[in-house]
Amino acid sequence: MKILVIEDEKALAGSITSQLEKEGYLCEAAYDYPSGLEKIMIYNYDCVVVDINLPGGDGFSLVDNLKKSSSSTGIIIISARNSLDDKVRGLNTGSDDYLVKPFHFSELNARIKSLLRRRNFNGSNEIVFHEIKVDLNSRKVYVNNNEIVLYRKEFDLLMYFLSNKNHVLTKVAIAEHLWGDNIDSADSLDIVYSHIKNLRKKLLDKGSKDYIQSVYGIGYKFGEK
Amino acid sequence: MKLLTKTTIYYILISLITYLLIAGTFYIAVKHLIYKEVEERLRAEQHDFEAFVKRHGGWDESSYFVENKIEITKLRNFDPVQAEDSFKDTIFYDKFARENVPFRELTFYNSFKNDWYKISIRKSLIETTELIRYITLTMLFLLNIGLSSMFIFFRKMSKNIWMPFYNTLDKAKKFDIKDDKDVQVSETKIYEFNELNDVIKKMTGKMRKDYLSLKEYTENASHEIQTPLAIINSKVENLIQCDNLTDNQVLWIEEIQNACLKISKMHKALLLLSKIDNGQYNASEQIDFNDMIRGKLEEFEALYTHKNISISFINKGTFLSNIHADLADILLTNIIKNSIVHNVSHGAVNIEIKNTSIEVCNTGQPLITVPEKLFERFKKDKASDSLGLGLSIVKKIADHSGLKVEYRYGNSLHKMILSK
Repeated sequence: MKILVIEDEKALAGSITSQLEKEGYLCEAAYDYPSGLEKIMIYNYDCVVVDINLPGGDGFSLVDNLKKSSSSTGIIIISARNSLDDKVRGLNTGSDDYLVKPFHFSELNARIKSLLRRRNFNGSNEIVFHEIKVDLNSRKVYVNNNEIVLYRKEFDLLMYFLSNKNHVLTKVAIAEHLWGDNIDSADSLDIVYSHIKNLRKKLLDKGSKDYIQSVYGIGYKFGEK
Repeated sequence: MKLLTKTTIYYILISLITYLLIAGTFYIAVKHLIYKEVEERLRAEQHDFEAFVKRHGGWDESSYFVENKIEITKLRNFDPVQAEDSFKDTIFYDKFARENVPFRELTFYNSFKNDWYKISIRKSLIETTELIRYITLTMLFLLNIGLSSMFIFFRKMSKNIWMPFYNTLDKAKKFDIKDDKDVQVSETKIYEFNELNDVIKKMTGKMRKDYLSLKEYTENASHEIQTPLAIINSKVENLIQCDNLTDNQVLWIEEIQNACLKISKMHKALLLLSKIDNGQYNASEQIDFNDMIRGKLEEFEALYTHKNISISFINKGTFLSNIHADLADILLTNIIKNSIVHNVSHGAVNIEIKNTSIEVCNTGQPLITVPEKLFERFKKDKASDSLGLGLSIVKKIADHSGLKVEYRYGNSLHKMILSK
């Protein structure tokens, strides 16, 4: 899986690429419009993460060029602009997702994963993690082939964990992923806690191991101990 | 008041005064002239009378048959020193005309047949008053014609002269700061108006320039500040992923991240306020607030179920308003979130929508600050973790979109009323 990050802020690009590489992707970075354009014209990527404000050009026209040259590439726009107009424009030019800065890496990671899953759809659309199996089409979850019934938000939470295995997810990041950044009150952290408690209980009840670990009190990590 | 109305009122007032003055002066002048004439003739008759008395040594009433013309009274014990001629106005009943008739009367004293007599001779003023009346009426009529034609001419001319001014005013009214064009004003022959046009051109040009640079600044600031924040955030996240951190270090890291997210949110909120001021949200469409509130309640479901808050949502009507879609969303998010976040456990939120108003009523801790200051920036509970910008954004959006927002507190209920 090859991913190109086009972001003029080198520190941010470096941070994103290094974490994506940890996730096992082949990752490249471009820091301005011409070099970004050159890369997308020469190479093939599975996913391109592109900023809108770039030295030497506009991210929207990069998206446009990319759509014309290879339509199978997934595109995620990352931008500081958060107006509805910009989002609509970004999605209309053909990008698959629009993420407003600043964002949590785990959020970007989850969106890339979901995007790549949609792109590389090969008949079966399942995620398997040990005894846990998720059918993405029917949104059903099985533990040892026994279905467990999850509420919508619990399902989203499980998917978020599965996309960010062995990654510490802060409570704030989880709250924002599940309910958007409108719910930013102190209560939201308690709500995250109660959702995680419920999800964990449902998984354990059907005989799953306890994969959800609490980390230092700031967040959670999903994975084997 | 319109300029033309104002000048017309002044014109009418001044002409009325002039008119009355002219009429008054004229009346007095004519009256004086006529009195002088009548008095001269009375004097002439006095001479005639004295000549007659001198020649005949007495007076013969019979030669003077006209009624009320002359009256002779014999005086006793008269001291000639007092004999002084005098004029006066008097009124007699005319039995032919059957009305009171004004007379001018000359009283003088004379002696004949060894006696002193007081003699009053009179002349009717009736023809002369008639004359005065006719002359005055004619004058008034002519003056009227003159003034009204002046008036019409003046109005027409005013309209003509002020035409370029109204044109410029119209252009200035239609001026939209977001247009790409400067105001186009046409050259006139009047120096002052040309100067006004120049000033307006320069002012609007400068306004547009300032607006553009401010807009560019806010856009850039948004990008420039969010980017370093995104870097801090991503680096902090890298740090969190490290395995060998002490509990204290993790706590610090979390605090850094929260502070960083807070700056980002605060900046977005302030940016929103200035963008509204800059008129970047002037486009509007008709928004169904009932629908949007329903959506918002779904969005906040996790929050209010968590706090065990009961929600009642009553639709007594449909609240439609022309507003920018983003602003409507932010407005309702803030109002509804406020009613839930500043609520107590097991509290209640009542939302009632009518055709022209939306009332959001919620339980909560009593208000500490003054209600009037609630909509100011950064007014909040010291204990609260929020930014303190939510309600000032609500106010700004309401003002911008022609809506009224009002806060009331009573029966330990907080009530936010949004109305058209």
